[in-house]
Amino acid sequence: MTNYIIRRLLLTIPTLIGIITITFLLMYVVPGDPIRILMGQRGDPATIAMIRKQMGLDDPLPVQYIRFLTNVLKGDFGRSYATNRPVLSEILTRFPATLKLALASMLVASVIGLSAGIISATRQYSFFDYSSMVVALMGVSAPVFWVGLLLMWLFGYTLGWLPISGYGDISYLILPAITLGIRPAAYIARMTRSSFLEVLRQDYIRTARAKGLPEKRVIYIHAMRNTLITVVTILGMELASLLSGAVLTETIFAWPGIGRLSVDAIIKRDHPMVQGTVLFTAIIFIFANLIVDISYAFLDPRIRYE
Amino acid sequence: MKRFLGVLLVLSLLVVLFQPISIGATKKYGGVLRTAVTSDPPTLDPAQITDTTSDMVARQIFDGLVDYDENLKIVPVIARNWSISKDGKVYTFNLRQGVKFHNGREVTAEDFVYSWKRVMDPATKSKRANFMEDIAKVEAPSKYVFRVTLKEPRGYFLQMLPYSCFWVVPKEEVERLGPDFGSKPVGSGPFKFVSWTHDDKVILEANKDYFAGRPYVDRLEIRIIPDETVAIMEFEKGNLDWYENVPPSELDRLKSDPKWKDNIIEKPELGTYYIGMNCQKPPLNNKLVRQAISYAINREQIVKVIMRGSAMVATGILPPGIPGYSKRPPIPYDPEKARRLLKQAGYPDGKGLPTLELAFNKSATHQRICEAIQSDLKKVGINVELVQMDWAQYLEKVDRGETQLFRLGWIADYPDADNFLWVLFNSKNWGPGGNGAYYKNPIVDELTDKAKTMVPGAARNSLYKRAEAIILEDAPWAPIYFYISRAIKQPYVMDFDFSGMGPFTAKLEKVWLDK
Repeated sequence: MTNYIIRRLLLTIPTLIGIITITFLLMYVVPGDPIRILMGQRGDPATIAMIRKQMGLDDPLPVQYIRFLTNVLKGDFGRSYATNRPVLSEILTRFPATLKLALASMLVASVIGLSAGIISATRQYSFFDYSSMVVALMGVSAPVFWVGLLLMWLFGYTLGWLPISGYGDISYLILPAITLGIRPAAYIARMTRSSFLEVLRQDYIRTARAKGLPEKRVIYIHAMRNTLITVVTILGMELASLLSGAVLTETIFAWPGIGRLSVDAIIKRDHPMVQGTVLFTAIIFIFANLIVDISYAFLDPRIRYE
Repeated sequence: MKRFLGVLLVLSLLVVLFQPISIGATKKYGGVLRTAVTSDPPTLDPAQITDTTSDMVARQIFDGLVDYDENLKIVPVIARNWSISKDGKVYTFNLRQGVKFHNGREVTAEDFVYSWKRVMDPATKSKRANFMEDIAKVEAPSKYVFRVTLKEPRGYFLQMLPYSCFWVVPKEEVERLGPDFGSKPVGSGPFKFVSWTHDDKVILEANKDYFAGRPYVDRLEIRIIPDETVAIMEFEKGNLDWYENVPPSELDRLKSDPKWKDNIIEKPELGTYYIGMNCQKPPLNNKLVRQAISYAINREQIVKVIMRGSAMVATGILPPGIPGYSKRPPIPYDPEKARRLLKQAGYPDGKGLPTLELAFNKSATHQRICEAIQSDLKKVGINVELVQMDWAQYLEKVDRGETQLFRLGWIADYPDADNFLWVLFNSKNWGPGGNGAYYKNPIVDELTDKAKTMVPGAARNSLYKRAEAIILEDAPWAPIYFYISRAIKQPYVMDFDFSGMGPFTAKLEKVWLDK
C-alpha cells in the first residue's frame, strides 16, 4: 500500500508540470492583454507599453515560462496582475470559505442522498420510492441559481429565518450548503438506490438473511459496505469539484470562495492568478482521486494495490 | 385682525429662524452605514485605481487637493485655495495646516510632490501615469505651498485633480507596506481602514481627527454582493442603508412603492452609450452609410422598452452636465431618411451592401440593445450579424480596428468636454487611446487640440460646440442614450447626495442616521 501511494504521488509531478505548461500556453494564446484590461475602456498605449515592460511581459515566451516555472518550484506563484496581491495568499484566504461550503454541502448531499437511496431501495416501488426518485430527478435538473434564489427569497427575504447572503456564523452556511448539496444529493440518492438494489440481489445477502440475521444488520452492515464503493467514488469527485469552487452559489450568496476568484481571474486574463487557481484545483483533484482509490481497499478487501 | 396678523408674522419668523437650528441640532452621531458593491475592489492604492468600486472605497480613506461638490463645482479639500498664473501653466496651491494622515503625521506639500512623482515613476506601474503627462514639474516651495508647472496650459487641469491618482499618500507607509499598501491603505481622509475580507466586506472607521470634523457615522461597512437582485433583497430587508446598482428590472417596482419612491436619488451621469462605426472600413468609410445607420435606430424604443426608462435618449455626444454641453433636439428616428441616404450612397434598399458585423461584449442588456438595433437596421435594408465576445477579447478587437459596428459606453474620467471630444475623436487617439471608431477629421483635430489649451469659458465651449456638431454630422458614432446614475437609500439615511460623476462620489462623512 505504501509503495502504491508513493508511486501515485510521484506520478503527480509530471501531471502537475503538464497542467502548468498547458495553462501557461493557453493564457498566452487566448486573445486579450491583461494590462490593457486593467486600464479600463481607454488604455494609453505608452502607459501599457511601460507596464508590460516593467512586468516582463514583453520577454520571449520561453524566458517567461522558465521564470514562471522556477518561481513555482520555489513556492512563489507571483502576484496577481489585477490586485498586486500574492496569488497564494489570495487562494489561501478564500480556501476556508470554500472548504466550509464544500464540507457542509457534502454533508447535506450524503445525509439526504444516502437516506433517500437506501429507503427507496429497501422499499422498491413504494410511494416513497417513486416520490423520492421524482424529487431526485428534479434536484438533478434544477439550475443552481434558481434553487439558490428561491431558497434565499423564501427563508431569507420572506420568512427572515436565515441571512439572505454573506459570510459569517453557521446560519450563513445553511442556504448555500443546501443549494449546492441538492444536486449531488439527488445524484447520490439515485446511485445509492440502483447500487443497493443490485447488492440486495447478491447471493451473500440471501445467505445472510437465510442464516437469520436481523434485516437491519443485513442492510446496514452487509449490503451497505458494498454499496459504499459507488457512493465514495461520487462523493470523492463531487468534493473535489466543490473544493475548486462553486462559482454560481458563491456569486448568489456573496460567499467569498475560490470559484469567484478563478472566474474573475479568467475574465481579467490575470495569468498568475489563473495559473495559481488551476494548479490548486489540479492538486485537489489528484489528491481526491488518490483518497478515493485508497478508500476502496478499506471498503472492499478484494481490492489491493500491491 | 391686525394683531392676529402680527402674531402670525412673528410666529412665521420664529419658525423660519429656528428651523435651520433645529435641523442642525437633530443631526446625530454614531451608527454604522452599510452599503454594497458588486465586486471586490482590485486595489485601494490611489496610484493604481482605475475603477469606480475601488474609488468609492478609497475616497473615504484618502483626500486630494480639491474635489467636486454635488453640482460638479471644484471645491477645496486639502488645498485651502489656489492661484493660476496668467499663462495658465503654473498652479499654486496653498495647503491647510493641521491636516493629518491616519498615522498622526501632518500632510505637507512634500507629500503631494512624493505622491504625484510616485504615479509618474515607471516603477510604480501606475495605470494612470498618463494623467500626469501634462505636468512638467511639481515642487514644494514651502511646507504648505504646492506648485505644479504644466508643459502647456490645460483648460481641464483642475477638473482632473479629484481623480484618485492625484490623492496624497504618506511616503513612510507606502515604503513600509510596499506592494501591500493597496490592501492596507493609510490616508488622510474621513475614514480609516480597519479590515478587508476579500470578496466579503471592507470595514472603515470614522477618523475622529479629520480636519473638517469627524464623520457622523462611526463605521462604514461595504459588503461585496455580486448579484444586484440579491443586494436589493438585502436592502429591502434593511440590511443595507444605501445601494447604487439598482437593476433596471427592479426600478419600476421600487419607484412605485411608497416606502422607496422618495428615497431614490437620480442624476444625469456624465456618460454616453453608443454604437461606434469604424470609419476606415468599407462600407462604413462612407459618411452616408453611417448617417443612414444613425437615423434608422429607434433610440426612444430602446430607452423605453429595454432600459425601462432608466436612461435618457441621447441627443449628441456630450451628456448634460458637461461644460460645453449644448441642448440639441433628439437625433430623429427616420427610417425614410435612412433609406434615402442609403440610396444616395449607392445602396438602394440596402442592395449591394454587405452584411455588417455588430460586436458587443457579453451582457444580457447589451445583447437586447444590439438585437433591437439589428431589427431596426433590417427595416431599412441593412443586414447585421451580431457577434458577442468576452470583454478582454472585445477590447482587443475594438483597439485593433477589427470591428465594423461596436457598442460601448463612455463615462467621463473628469467633467470636461476634452474627456469626450479630444479623447474619443481626435485622430491621435486611434485604437486603445479612445478613438475606437478610427475617426479622423482635421477640423475636429484642430478644434479639440486648440480647446485643450484654452482657459475654461465661453470661447473654449464654442470650439467644443463646433467640434461636436461636425462629429454628429460625420456620424462616427450613433449615440444611443445618456446614462442616469442612481442610488436608493433607507428613509433614515440623511444628507446623502452625490455628484454627477456618480454615486461612488457620495460624501459619506456628511451622512448621518436618523434612527
